[in-house]
Parts: sequence; structure tokens; C-alpha cells
Amino acid sequence: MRPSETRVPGWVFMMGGVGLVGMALALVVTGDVQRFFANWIVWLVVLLTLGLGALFMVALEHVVAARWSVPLRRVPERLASLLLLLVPIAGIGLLALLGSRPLYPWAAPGALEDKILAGKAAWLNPGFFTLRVALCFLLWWVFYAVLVKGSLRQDEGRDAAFARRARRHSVLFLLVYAPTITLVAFDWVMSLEPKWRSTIFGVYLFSGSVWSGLAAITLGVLYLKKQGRLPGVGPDHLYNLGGLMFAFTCFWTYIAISQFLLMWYANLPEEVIWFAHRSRDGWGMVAILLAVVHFAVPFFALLSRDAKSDERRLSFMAKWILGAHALDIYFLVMPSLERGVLLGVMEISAALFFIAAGVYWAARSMRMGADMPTGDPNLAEGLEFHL
Amino acid sequence: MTSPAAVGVVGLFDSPEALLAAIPRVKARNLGALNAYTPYPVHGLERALGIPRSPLGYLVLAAGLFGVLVAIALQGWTNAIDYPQVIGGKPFFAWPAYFPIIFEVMVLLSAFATFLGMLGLFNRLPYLGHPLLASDAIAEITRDRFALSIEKRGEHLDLHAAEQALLTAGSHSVEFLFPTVVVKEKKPEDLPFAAFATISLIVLSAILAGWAWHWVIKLFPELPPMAHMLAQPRLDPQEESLFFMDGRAMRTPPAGTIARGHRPYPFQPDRDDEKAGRLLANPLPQSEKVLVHGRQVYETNCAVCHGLLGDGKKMLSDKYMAQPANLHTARIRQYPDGRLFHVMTVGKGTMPAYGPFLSEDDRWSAVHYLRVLQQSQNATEEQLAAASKGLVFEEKISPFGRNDRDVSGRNDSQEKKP
Ligand code: HEC
Repeated sequence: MRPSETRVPGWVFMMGGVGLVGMALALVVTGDVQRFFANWIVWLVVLLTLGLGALFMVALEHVVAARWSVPLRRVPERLASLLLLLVPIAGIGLLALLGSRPLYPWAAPGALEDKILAGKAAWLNPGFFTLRVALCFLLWWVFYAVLVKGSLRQDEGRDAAFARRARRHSVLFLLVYAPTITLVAFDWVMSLEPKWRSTIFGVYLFSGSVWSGLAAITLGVLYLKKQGRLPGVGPDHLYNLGGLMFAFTCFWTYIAISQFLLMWYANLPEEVIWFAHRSRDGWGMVAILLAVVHFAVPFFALLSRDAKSDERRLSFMAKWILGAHALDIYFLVMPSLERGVLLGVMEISAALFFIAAGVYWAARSMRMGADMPTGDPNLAEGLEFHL
Repeated sequence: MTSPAAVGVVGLFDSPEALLAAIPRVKARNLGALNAYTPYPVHGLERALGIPRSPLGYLVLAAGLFGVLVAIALQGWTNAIDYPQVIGGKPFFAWPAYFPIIFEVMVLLSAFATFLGMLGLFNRLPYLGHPLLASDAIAEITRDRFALSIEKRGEHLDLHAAEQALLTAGSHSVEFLFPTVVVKEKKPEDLPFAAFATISLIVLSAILAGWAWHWVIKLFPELPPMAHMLAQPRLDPQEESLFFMDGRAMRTPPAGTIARGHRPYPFQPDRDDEKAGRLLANPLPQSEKVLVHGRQVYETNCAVCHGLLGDGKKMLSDKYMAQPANLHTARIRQYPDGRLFHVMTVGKGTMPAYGPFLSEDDRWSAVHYLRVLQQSQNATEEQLAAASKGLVFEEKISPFGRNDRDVSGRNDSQEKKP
């Protein structure tokens, strides 16, 4: 176990650089600020849900006192540090509220003349929005410090009481996670079309959050395992990760269908407008693509028992899932611009830049602490885990 | 009477670890079929015994996919083919609405496949008694001991070698296993009969239950929970609403309310029939797109009364006593487009007004489609001959005269000629 072995490969910097230049060029040449920020929000939400999903898995382990995942726990703990990277990204994202034609219609200068928007102004106004974002980050940071930093400290002190404390704090975190991920969904994504609302939207984003978090954890585990840094972690541990990814594939589909079906049934103009925006101008094809990429393929690919513990297949599916999650968020955000399917230099550059940033951060985070929570008294039991 | 030969040997162990440690040692001797019996599932047992992967998963997958197909077929057939009925303004084949049932049937059939597959594949039913059940060991196994057995595989089992193997592997008590059904030799031809009897019993009781339920519903139509939908949470005419303060069931829209996309319509029913026909003109082109849409509008809204062909043969029961007009009478064929639009908009006699439900485009599209229907049913010999010139009929004309694109296309070009 030599943490310093994690070197960030050179292509990540290249990719990030190309993406950054591409985004800047596209922004300067077209002057299309809205589109720039739409892409920014897409990737903000992708990375944010992923980081929160990782922290959620840490907390879940403590709450249910899972043993099998103890040897893997350092991976989600490290990935949760993405939340720190997201502070500046969210800060820049807040600029989307400014200007004469901001990305968020409720923040536009004349928005209050609209009766409906005026009625929502107490909630949807730049000041309160910023406050909520800040509050969310503060809460996440507190729990990151308690759960992740606490776990790192446990390595040194071998503090057996940590498990009990972590369990209580994790319960609190779950109570905080539910409303804050709902805020992410409602504020950053749903308010792009401020007259539309869906009460299940928070759950929708939650399902994607845990799904992508699991995929990132799987990739991290496979990466460390390949380097021989997780001795004792075997196919049975991987099987559980694969099983959870499979489960959340179904869960996301269930939630997505629930949201669609009820609105489709009732066919109320103020509800179906959101789906209308997502079935016109080429978005209908994207919707079908999403159903295939986000459900059909992972469902059948992860169905068999072998697929859930086979390293090569898992690694492929984990990357696939991350891509599908990004497509999902793209599908949530971009159609709000009502400008057809946007896929150009801006989108590709943004993807390159943020993927590079995410990979860079995740790879760097793999240096944090020991590769396994060596101070956790349950580590040995976790390593013995067999199906 | 000679005592029956033992068919196996079972040895008890005190802990799952002892059992797992013994397995490879006994296995190496290769004396017979190895089996383990434990009071609860023990991790790693399958792998140690080398039990091959069960094919049950494939069975369940197939059953689940079959369930998906069954559910789609069932709903598609009942809703779109056998008894097409508009529900909530949705198309007949309203696939999103099918998801819940698809899901349920998939789960149901998968569960059946799992359960029955387990009985068949693992419990090997009808397999009436495992030798272990007659042993003394079984009491211990269901309590807190872990057992390993060596059972006869093929003809021969060296009982003493097996006993020895279990003892050296650490078992503290070893017992011989004897077949449970002693009196009667198991005859292989009995098995199919038992299976047949079991299955027919299940099928028979299902038929009986269905038949009984059929009569129960018939004789006691008001029996809950079906009750022939007599009890509905709706307000009947003149009934008081407990929900609204003013006690009325229907709400009056606020003053000045205008429905989305509404345009004032100046013509009155009956009185202005003729005037509307003179002044209104169809703004839509007679394109394929419009006709396809018009057909959808017609079949969704009008066909229940006027029939799919427009011949006034209603699909409703005779309890709907009015006689919908035959749309192919000379009088109605002479109506200008505007008058058809007008009838649709404000209604006629007992025919309801469709203005509030269908957009103007919907109605005008339906007018175009109605023209096509009329043409299709009333074409003269010469017109047919002219239209079919150079055409080779490959398709059979269906008895419903609904040969889709060809027919409408032909009428389309026909109409433009005169
Ligand atoms: C509930 C049954 C019902 C439905 C649904 C219905 N109609 Fe009718 N329709 C009738 C009846 C009954 C008449 C005869 C009315 C009369 O003459 O009093 C009629 C008459 C007509 C007439 C002849 C009017 C005249 O001037 O004699 C036309 C044209 C017509 N319907 C078109 C339509 C179209 C188009 C639709 C679909 C939008 C439709 N109908 C839907 C019941 C129905």
C-alpha cells in the first residue's frame, strides 16, 4: 500500500486543457452565455450528485452496520471529497442568475410581472437561492468532516467508539441528505422551468445520485485492486457493488416512469409542458436513447451473476453508468433552453473539461489516508466476507 | 425380510468452520455424492461442495420476459382490438398506461417460475421422502449441528470407507441412512402418474374456482368488491357536495374565463346550420398528415356512434337509444365542409357538441377524413376504374374496407379531379 503511487496520467491535463480552451473559445465566439451556463449546471449537477452519492454510501454503511463494505469504505470516503471541488464550481454556477437574460427565467429582470413567478418570488430569488446553496454546502462539509475525517483519524487512534458515533451522525446525515438533494433538484434543475413542478423530482435525482456514486466507487475499487492496494477484496465484494448498481438501475427507472406516467395520465398543460419540451425538436430521440442507455443496457448487462463480479465487465458498465448519468442530467437541463438538441463545441469542451477535472480530483483523492480503514475493528470481518 | 441396504452415511459437526474444513478432505476420497445440511445458510458452502450454478435464473428470466409479452398482448388486445374504448382521451393503444400491469405480470410469472422451478429442480417433487428425514441426525441438524453426508451415487457405496472418511475428517457422530419408503419398492412408472395427478388437481381446482366465481358474480351482481361498479365516489344529479361550501358539485369558472386556445364561435345550433356551412371554409390542406390525424380524431371520438365506416352502425349497446346518422346519405354528402364542422362544434339533436373537446384543427382534420370515408363508400364504377388504372391490387381488401393508405390516397386524388 503506497498511496503515492497514484499518479494522475498526463492525458487528463491535456483533456482538461483542451476542454477549457474550447469552452472559452465557444463562449467568446458565440457570446452565448446561456448555453455556457447550461453546460456548467449540467456538470455541476453531475459531479455534485456523484459526490453526494459517495457520501451517502459511507453513511449507509454506518447506519446499517454493514461489514462487507468496510474494506472498500475508503473509496467512497475519498470520492466524497469531490464536494470540496464543487464549491468553486457552484460559485461560478451562481453567476447564471445574473445578467439581463439569465439562464434561470425567474431571475430575469421582468420576471416579477408574471403572476406565477411573482407568487414564487419568496422562494425563487437570487439572494435566498444563494443562501440555500451555501447552507447545503456547509451542511455537507460538516458531515464530510465528521464522517470522513473521523474515519481517517480512526486509522491512527484505533478508536473503537468511532463506529457508534459515526452511526449516530450518519443517521443525521441521511436526514440532511434527503432534503438537500431535493434542494439540489428543485433549485438547480427544476427551477430552470420555474412554472413546472414535480414532487418526485428530488427522488429522481437521488436515484441518479446513488447510482453514479456506486459506479464511481466501483471504478475506484477496481483501480486500487488492480494496483494491488486492496488485498483480500475479492469477487464477492465486487458482486455486492454490481448488485447495488443493478438495483439502482431499476430504481431510477421506477422513479422516472412514476413521474412520467402520472403526468401523462392527467395531461394537464402545466405539467406535461416539461415533457413536451423533452419530446420536440429532436429531444424525443434523446429520451428514447436515455431509456435504452440508462435502463435497458445496464439492466441486461448486469443481470447475470457473473457480470456482477467480473472485473472487466464491471469496469465497463461503471463507466457506461457514469456516461448515462451525465446524459440524464443533460436531458434534464438542456431542453429548458427550448433550442433543440444542443451538441457542439461548447458541449464537447465542457464534457472534456469536467470529466478531466473529476478524474483528476478523484485520482488525487486516492492518496488520502490508507487504502483501507486500518483502524476499523470490523475490517477483518469485512475482508472475510463471502456470499 | 431382509433389512434394506443403507444408501448413505451422515456425519455431524459442531460448527460451520469444522464442516467447511471437512469437505475437501472427504471430497478427496471420492466415495459418493456429497451433500451438506445446515440449520442456516453457510457462506462458502456451495463453492466448497462444488455445486454447479443453478439454471433457475434462466428459467425465471424467460418467465419474466414471457410475462412482459403476455401483459402487452392482453392489454393491447382488450383495449385496442377487442373492445376499443376511449379512456381519458388517450389513443386505444396507450402503451404508457400498460407499464404497471406489465411490471406486475412480469413479477408474478417470475415468482411462479422461481417457486415451481425450485420445487421441480431442487426438491425434485414428487420426491416423497429423503432418507435423512428418517435419521436421528435430522433433529440435531434442525437445531444446531452441521451435517455432511455421503450418498449413493450409481450402484455402489462403500459404507465403511465412507464412515471412516467422515470420522477422520472430524465428525463426532456418524450414522447410516436408510430409504424412508421401505415397504414398497419405488417404481419409476409411479412418478409420472403422481406428477400428472398433482398437476391435474391444480388445474381442476383452478377451473372450479373460476367457474364458481363466474356464477357468484352472475347471481349476486351487487356483491362487493366488484358490485358492477354500482358504488362510485361521484355525485349524482341533484346530490349535494360536502366538499364545496355552496354544496354544488360542478364549479362555475370565474367570470371572464376563456379556455386555452378558445375562439368565439358565432353560430347557433340548428338555426345557423345552413349559414355556417356557407361561411366557414376548411383551412387545412388535404395532406396525408391531416388525413391521418383526422382519422385518429374520427375513430377516437365519432366511431363509437357513427361506426368506423360512418354508416351509422353504432358500437354502443342498444341502451343508447338515439340512432346516429348514416353519414353516407345524399343529404349529408352534399353538406359543405363548414356544415360538418358546425355539427361537430355545436352538436345535433342528441349528438353532443365536440367544440369544447376538440381543437379547431382536430375538427377540420376530421372533416377531411369524413370526405374520404364518404368517397370510399360511394365511389362510382367509373371513378374506381379510373383510379385503379395502372394499379395492380396486391392486397386483399379487408371486410371493413379499411385498407389505410391506398384507399385514402386514391380518394384523395379522386376528389381533387372534379
Ligand atoms: C354519442 C353518439 C355520437 C357521437 C359520439 C357523434 N355523433 Fe354525430 N350524430 C349522432 C346522432 C344521434 C345524430 C343524429 C342527430 C339528429 O339528427 O338529431 C348525429 C348526426 C351527425 C351528423 C349529421 C347532422 C345532420 O345535419 O343531420 C353528422 C355530420 C355527424 N353526426 C358527425 C359526427 C362527427 C364528425 C362526430 C365526431 C366528432 C360525431 N358525429 C360524433 C350521434 C353521435
